[in-house]
Amino acid sequence: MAGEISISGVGETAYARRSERNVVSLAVEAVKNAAADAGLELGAIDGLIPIGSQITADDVMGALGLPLRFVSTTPLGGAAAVANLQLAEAAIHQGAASNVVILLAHKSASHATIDKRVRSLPGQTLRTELEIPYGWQTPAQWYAMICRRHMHEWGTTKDHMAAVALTMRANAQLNPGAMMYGRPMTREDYDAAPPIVDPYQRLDCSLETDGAAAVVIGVDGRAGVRVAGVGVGRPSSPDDLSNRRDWMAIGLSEAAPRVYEQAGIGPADVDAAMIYDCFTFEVIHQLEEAGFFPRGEAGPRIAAGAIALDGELPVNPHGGLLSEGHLGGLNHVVEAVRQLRGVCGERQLPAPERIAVTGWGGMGDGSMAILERAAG
Amino acid sequence: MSDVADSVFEPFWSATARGELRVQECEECGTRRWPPRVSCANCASELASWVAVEGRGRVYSWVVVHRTALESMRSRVPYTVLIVELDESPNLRFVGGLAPGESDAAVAIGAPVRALLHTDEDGRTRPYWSPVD
Repeated sequence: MAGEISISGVGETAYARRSERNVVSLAVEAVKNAAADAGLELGAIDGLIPIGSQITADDVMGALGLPLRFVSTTPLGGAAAVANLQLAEAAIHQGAASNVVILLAHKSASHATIDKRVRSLPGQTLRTELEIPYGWQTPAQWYAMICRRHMHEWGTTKDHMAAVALTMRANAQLNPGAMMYGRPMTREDYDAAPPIVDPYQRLDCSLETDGAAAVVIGVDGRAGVRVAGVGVGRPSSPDDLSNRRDWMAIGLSEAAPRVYEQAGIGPADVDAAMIYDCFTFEVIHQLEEAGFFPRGEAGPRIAAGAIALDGELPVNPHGGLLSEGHLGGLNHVVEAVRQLRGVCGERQLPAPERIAVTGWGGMGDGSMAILERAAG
Repeated sequence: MSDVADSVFEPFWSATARGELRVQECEECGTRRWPPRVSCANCASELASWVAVEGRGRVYSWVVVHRTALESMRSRVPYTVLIVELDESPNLRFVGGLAPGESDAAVAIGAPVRALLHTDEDGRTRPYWSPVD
């Protein structure tokens, strides 16, 4: 039955720096768009997986009257969007629901910025006792620590990180829905951006976005995009980044081999990747841990054009979290589906058949899915 | 939740208040661990003692924070945050800051540092790190 479940619809709102609408209004628009895209009446949606702390099933039921008989979620920070593809599939397999919507709606730019959102992650006692007193408190500050170590151990440079930022921004110039559409970036812009947490500058960091995205999972969907494999992994000390024996090993390192096995393919069979690009180095890091490049090689290959639209492994044609908008990576699932359908206009890749999508959250939780264009 | 957390961390803070840096050691399998945990991730034993460590180590990684949302840190930007690997227990790493008055000029991965216990304004004594010449 695994092959019959598909992603039948995708939908979103405009992505903005500041929306005047409330979060429920954004959620309603995304759900309606996704249901219409799937060819479903709203009444056919009987499962809901809300992601993040700003939208609940109650909000959506109250607004749309959906006959929900399955409501659940896997809370996994930025790894949740992809991880919940697994939960949606499990719910359908089990018979708990027929059409499950994964929904992310937030006003992260104008309302709840990342420094506030991280306070709902696990490990708060550790944070409070041992980290926050030293002023180490945000994802940028945590992950910059891994980046520095990678620079030392594996040779990543600011040139490599700039290449990620510039590639994402160039892609966004072909995506009218991207927040950074019409705002190209030069290397001078990248270098001149103010420091946030060295080695990260402003343009190494993803956007904060107000908006919503929704994805419908169901049986006999019309989209023709199936989930060929999906998995979740956690690093050895999931709530503590500092004391891992292997600092580069993250949840994704452990999840990726399982996902390839489930899909019956290897990294070389993937035509494009949607990488959770919360920060520039995280593209380098995850491309290596997902098996696309050996450690230490992603940076130089990216600088040589490997992840550009015409490269050997195009990454985030929509511009990613860095330049399209930050919808928790659910926008990466949306883009993968559209690329597989072949409806991406100027940024359309030449007939991709399989696209990997990653998620990354908390202190290194990971998720990955391989989406595949169904035959026929 | 907070009273449980306090019971796990309390021996550490009691030790720093006495001028000692201590970490947990499993009484069953002998594995030293940091940060404090209620049980041993190696053997699941809940029996642990607190053993003193010398407080010498090397910088494993570091960042310089230029923007912070923490009110308590705003006046200090830019400030350095270090992760230090202990010489005597290379799998134990402490998050910390530079000791008062130290500059980050000598901070680099692999640079030797030693712990300096400093009592902060909130009355808690925490380890900070000084580069060793």
